Amino acid sequence: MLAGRIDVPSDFAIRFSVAKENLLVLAHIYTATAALTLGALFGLLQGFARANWIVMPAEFDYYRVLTAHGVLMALVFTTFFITGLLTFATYRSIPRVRSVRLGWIGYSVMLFGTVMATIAIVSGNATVLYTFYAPLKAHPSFYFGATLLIAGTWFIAADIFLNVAWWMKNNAKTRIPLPAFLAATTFVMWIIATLGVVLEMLLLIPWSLGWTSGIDVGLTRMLFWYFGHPLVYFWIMGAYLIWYTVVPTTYKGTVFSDSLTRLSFIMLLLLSTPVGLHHQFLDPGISATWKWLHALNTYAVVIPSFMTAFAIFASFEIAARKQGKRGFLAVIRWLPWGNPVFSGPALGMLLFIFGGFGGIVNTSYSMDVLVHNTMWIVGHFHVTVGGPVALSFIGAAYGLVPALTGRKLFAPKLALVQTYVWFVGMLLMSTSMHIAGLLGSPRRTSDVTYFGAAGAQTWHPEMVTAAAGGALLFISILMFVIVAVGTRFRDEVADERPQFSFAPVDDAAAPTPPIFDKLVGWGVLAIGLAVLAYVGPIHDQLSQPHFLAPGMRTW
Amino acid sequence: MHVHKAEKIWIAFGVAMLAVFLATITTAAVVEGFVPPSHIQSIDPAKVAQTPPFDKPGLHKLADGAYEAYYVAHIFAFEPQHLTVPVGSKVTFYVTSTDVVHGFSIPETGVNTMVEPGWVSTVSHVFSKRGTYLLVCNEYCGVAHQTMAGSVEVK
Amino acid sequence: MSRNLLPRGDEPLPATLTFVFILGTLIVIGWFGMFALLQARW
Repeated sequence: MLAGRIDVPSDFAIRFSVAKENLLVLAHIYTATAALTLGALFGLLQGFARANWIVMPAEFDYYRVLTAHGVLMALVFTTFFITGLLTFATYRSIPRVRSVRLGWIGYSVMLFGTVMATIAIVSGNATVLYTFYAPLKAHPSFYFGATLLIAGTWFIAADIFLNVAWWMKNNAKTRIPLPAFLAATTFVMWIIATLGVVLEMLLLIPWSLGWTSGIDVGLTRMLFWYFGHPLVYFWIMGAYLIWYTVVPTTYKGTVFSDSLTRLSFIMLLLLSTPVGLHHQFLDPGISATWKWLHALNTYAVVIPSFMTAFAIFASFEIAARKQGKRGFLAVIRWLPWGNPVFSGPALGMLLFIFGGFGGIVNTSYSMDVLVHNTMWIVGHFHVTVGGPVALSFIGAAYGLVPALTGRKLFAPKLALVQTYVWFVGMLLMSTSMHIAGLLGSPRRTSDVTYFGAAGAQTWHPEMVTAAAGGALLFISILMFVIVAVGTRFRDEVADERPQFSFAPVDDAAAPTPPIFDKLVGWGVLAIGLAVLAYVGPIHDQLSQPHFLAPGMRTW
Repeated sequence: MHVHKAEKIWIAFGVAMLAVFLATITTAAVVEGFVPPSHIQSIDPAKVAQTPPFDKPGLHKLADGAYEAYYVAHIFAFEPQHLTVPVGSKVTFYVTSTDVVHGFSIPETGVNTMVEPGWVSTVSHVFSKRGTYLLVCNEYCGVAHQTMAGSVEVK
Repeated sequence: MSRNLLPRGDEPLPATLTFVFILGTLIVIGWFGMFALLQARW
């Protein structure tokens, strides 16, 4: 069954505050769901186009759709869900009477920017894909909109930090409640990461307005990928927060180790940013030495994920043993696969086996020549952001939306089936994409026929499988929307308000060292590591003779 | 802070595994030259057509079995579009772009590099098998990105 | 409230070890497979 217990204080003021908080969190979740749905429709069209089942019209061509799909999925759906989730995690683990004004300001700025950028994309003025590499030049409103989306998240971060600071002032010598700590750590990482893309926007915006005539292609790419890698850890930390603190409530489990959970997030904070060059392994103008350094750093950031894999399963095993189940297969059979709040994240964990393996391959320096800019990469990021991240968010939503709306989950069996349909669809789609990539198929193309060239023959069958997987995914998303909307619009408010809680820490766990809570210090160290990793490459970029490029609209 | 003994074992294994991967690719880099394309040479993208060797795109023989191939990438074609080389030859490709970022990739070989306006990319390959290889742009460059291709025939 | 019981290390976690070592083995096999492919294609 869903979730556990939360002690809602009988004080009216706090209950009223909670009601206001719920509205704010719901706004984020519904915006994320809308982005996911529109993005999924576009993705479906892409899959069908690449399988040559349809042809996109020139007035609404493939690359416009691809830009919209990438932005809506990788920048809008993810960001809004995470800001909602982390706000919820902080508010609920630090109950108090609070103002939600800062949160609403942040949400509004995010939404305004999103709408602005989406209009630019959908109107065909920003067909630059979600990476917007210069010298492809979009309309200024695209860059403004994206910058506002990022700026809005800083207000959300400030809101979380203020709440954590309030806790620390009023509860000295007690560790920050775990969900709030994980949320705050994630936002410290996010602030450091977004500095890079905001710096990039400071170069792109004047250029898009025509105030400067040339753009430094190498520098802007480097700034993007300084941001682009920690972006995916922003997503993963949201998923891990769910794995560590929410998933155990579905089997009456506990957090295996409070200290190690905090440590894994601190390591992710420190190591998510000094790795961005692994997205630029094949770029000219960057020395092989800096690339090797970032490969090393990326191997290091695998460690907190190894820790997480252990801790999650240990939580399973300890809870199973309390119910008399021993042994690997017995534990797996015992887990609550019939509860969508569990099955979403758990199926996401299974997909992450492929995602994690692929990531280790991708960062293995020269090995990247086998996969860079092939469909392998597309398979990789679908099985990760569309695997552990999206499925964990969806599973959590099945617990969150009832708790936030006070209504029982609509069509819980549909919710359960939805997670399995997604899993099968994603497995089919991403596996065929990985295979196509190994066969050399390039990415970001509207089709793969290459005028019947022999070297492209083996790619089309994979695209057909990918389209079939994509169709299943689209159906799965429709199921999710039906459940989410159905829950919101049920007439009856549940007699007993659906609960949502975070898992307790295991009784036998040793106390957490206080140093883990010193987030300012860890943030400073993280900035230091990011600077160390980038000062060399950026210095080289700026000091080598290089030429600026004029902007182009090649669509 | 207490760490479970089983976790210590797992993390030790994980670190060792990653260290082995790092050592393997580093050794391959030092001993076999397995280094991702990292050429550092800038070029004015507005003057590519006047800048040797890109003023004469195509194949240039250095010696028996050793060639250089100069490529210019632009929307939406590679110049030269077709290349013919004798089997067994080592070809060093030099590529630059006159407009936006492109990719230069020969599927099922190790030839794969980004091509950026303002920079020269280089990558080498020994073509030890006969056949006709597709050359594709694998980075989005605009509305006809999916048509940007060429071929390398190895006789 | 946390009680200081026997160190956690005394509670066996065989299923967890099985799980992570399956993961590790798959990663090692897959990685060297890719390395062989790299050698073949370089």
